[in-house]
Amino acid sequence: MTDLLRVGLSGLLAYQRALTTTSHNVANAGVEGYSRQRVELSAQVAGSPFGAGVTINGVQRLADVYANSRLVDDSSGLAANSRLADIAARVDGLLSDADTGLSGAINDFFAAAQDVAADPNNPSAREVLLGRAASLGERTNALAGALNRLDGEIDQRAAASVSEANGLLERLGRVNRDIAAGAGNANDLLDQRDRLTRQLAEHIGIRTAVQDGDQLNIYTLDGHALLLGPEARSLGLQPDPADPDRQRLVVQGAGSSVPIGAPGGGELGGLHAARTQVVTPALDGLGALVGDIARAVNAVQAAGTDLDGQPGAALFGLGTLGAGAHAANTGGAALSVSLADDGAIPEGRFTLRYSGGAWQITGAAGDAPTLSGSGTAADPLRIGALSVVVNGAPAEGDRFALTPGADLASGLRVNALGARQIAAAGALSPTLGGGNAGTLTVSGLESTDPAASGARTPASIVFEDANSYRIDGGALQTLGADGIIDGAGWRLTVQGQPVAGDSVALAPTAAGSGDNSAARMLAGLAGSAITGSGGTPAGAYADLVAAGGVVSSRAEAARDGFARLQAADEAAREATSGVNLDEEAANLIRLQQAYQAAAQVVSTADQLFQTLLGAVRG
Amino acid sequence: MRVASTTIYRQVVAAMQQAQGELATAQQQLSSGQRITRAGEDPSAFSSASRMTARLSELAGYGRAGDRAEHRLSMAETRIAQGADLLGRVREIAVQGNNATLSESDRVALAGEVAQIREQLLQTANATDGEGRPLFAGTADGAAFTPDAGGVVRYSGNAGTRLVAINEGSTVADGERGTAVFGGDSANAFAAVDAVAAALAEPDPVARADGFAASLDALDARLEQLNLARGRIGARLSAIDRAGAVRDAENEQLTAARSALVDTDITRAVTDMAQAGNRLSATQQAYLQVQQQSLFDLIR
Repeated sequence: MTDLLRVGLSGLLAYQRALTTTSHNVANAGVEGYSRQRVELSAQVAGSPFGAGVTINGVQRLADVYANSRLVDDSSGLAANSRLADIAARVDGLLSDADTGLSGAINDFFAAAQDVAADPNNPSAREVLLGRAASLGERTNALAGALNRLDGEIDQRAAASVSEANGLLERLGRVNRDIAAGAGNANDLLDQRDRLTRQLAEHIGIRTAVQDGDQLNIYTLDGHALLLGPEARSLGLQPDPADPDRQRLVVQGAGSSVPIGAPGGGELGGLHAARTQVVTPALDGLGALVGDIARAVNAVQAAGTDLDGQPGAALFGLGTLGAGAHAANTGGAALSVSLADDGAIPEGRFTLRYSGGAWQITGAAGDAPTLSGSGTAADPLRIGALSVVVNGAPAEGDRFALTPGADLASGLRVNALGARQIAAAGALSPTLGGGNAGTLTVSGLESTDPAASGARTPASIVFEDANSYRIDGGALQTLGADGIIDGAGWRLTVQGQPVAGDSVALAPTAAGSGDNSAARMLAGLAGSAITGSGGTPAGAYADLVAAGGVVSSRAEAARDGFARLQAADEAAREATSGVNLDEEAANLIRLQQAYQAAAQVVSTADQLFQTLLGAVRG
Repeated sequence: MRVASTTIYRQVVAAMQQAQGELATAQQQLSSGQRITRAGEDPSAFSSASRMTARLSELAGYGRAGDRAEHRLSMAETRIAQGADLLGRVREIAVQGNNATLSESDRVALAGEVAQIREQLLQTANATDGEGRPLFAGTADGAAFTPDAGGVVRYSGNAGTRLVAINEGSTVADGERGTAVFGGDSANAFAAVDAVAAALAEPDPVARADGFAASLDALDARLEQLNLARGRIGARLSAIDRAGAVRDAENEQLTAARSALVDTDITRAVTDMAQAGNRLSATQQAYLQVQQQSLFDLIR
């Protein structure tokens, strides 16, 4: 009879526990990351051959470790690509937009140049051209400002993310300690640890490993330990020695900090990708492109003559270019960077390194552009149009960062010229000799080299017969069928039949000329491959925008892909771990019935006992 | 597969969000008329469209330049016709003046008319395009012909030609140099007119007859040159017209191509919107159905 009582009591106890666990499941049905639990019961194997009741083996946590680990990885990917897609879309919006982007400004500028070429003496056409140049400069500066602000925002977001990640790491350390100490409900602690791990992965890409059965270790993707059992390290941001304006991510250890190459995933990974794939290329490309346009426009101005008869002044100021010295430099060298007249502005950022008595160059993407020259004032280092003079003595290993695009995009200025100062006319004007007897006419005169000795000096071309001529009494030259006469810095094209003694005089263009040959060259820049990438101004800008657009659309596709993966992981996790309320309701009924039955067993045992007592008392 | 209660909720919310996202996209496309507003939505289409926009802007510029050149050339053509009329009248006078029956006073009257015509001819040769820019001075900005101290009219423009771009690689001169219309320094229209005036003033009949004969030759040469200039301008005007037709065709083609790339396909956007709307309401209905069925509701 005591057996019967014990059996009944074991049932009561077991089902009460089971009911408690079911209630725990119901209560946590809506809790993110909760894994349902189940009381494991089995028949007690001992005692009499008639059975000894039920025993509780433990409370099992139903978890799918593989689904959980996929969830950590995919959450990390989702967070990274969400942030990248967000920033890429903002940059893309800035560059693509009709009001903030440059394509409208570039088209308008060259359209105004076309109008000046069609009517060079029209003051309002000239004013419009100056206005268009100003808005090209303003928009470039505004875009550079917006991109630089975005760069600053990336640092701020990174700082916030680092501080949250550090909080999570600290809590993970505590949970590891509690688990090791057996403090609290182990199942719920494991849920908490999974949840914290996933949250940490949303900040930075991680790898995890379980050690000693229950201790979780966490590493960055490049292998730096962030959590070793109860011991949590912390992340930090330090000024980048190569570029003090920017922060770099480090793992802070005892006494020393180790920089992390690329965070790889999570918010920090997304921010890093946004900077290296979107913001920096956009700024560098923008500056190089606008710099190339500005130099080409200035060159046309310099080759032409304005309404006052003066050589055209530079329309654009290109600002100063910097060479940032690395914090660890030990030599006394300083670099001065300027733009040469020839070559294109290289797109990107570069590091000049002094090694073994010579300078070496690497691009940000690991590429190596062509470097020539020795660095002296007479023979400067040249990277495309960049000209670098080294002042002072560098030490072995000294490094300097060149950011020509970023410098130009922020530094571009539009000089305050008057409408008369637009050099629409060519430097020289032709006049046919008064006594010309042939049918000679001039069909073109253009500048070929504004720096040449004859670019702005008078010249006289006298024909000896229909097919030969002398320039300024020089050697006899033959006139080809194309009618081209090349001089020092100019090219004259003639038509018709000259006779002996006929002449053409070239003289510096006087004030008030209605010539448009320089303006035509200016308008023609719209269709010329003047940029470093070999594109036209509008074409190169379209390429720049499209490159950012490709990153944006790829990041959005990756974000949506990871969102789908994450939803599938979540469904897989919940298939094992999630609470189904109908199931719990059924369990509640089933366990309640079992409990009631066990109670009945106890009552029956009591009745049997009473019966026996009555019989004995009998 | 085992389904957790939250899974159903999560899936339904995701489906509703997706449908709402598609609704918003279609609505935005319909209201803005733009299928894509930034490169990321379709990088290659956006890049092509930007290039087309640049080319369209360039074509519009060529169009404005062509219109202006056409205006100047038409004005020059009118002035040349006017010059030919004036010289034609001088030629009539020369023929008339050569008539031996003409009295001295008749010749004086004719000489008066010739002097007047010379004045008109100078005005014609120095005509401007309506904005103060000379039509026949090359690229110089002053008068094309000026009389010197002795009254001899000489070309005072330059030998330059203003070429106006009216399409890629296609330029047209927007005027005629005065020397190619009215003649150069020595043999020009004014000299021919002066020769007639001199003949009219010549008292000796023989010398007068010789003078008229020579001046008629000179006038014919000048009229010939005016006609040639007129022919050249006519050829240029039709070149401008042809370039305009080429530009119009390209413009139309580019505008259509760009629209196909970036503008909203209205039919498609409306269909997308209707489909997304249907999916949204179906999902909402289904969710309500699922949520109504819980075992807890049945436990009493």
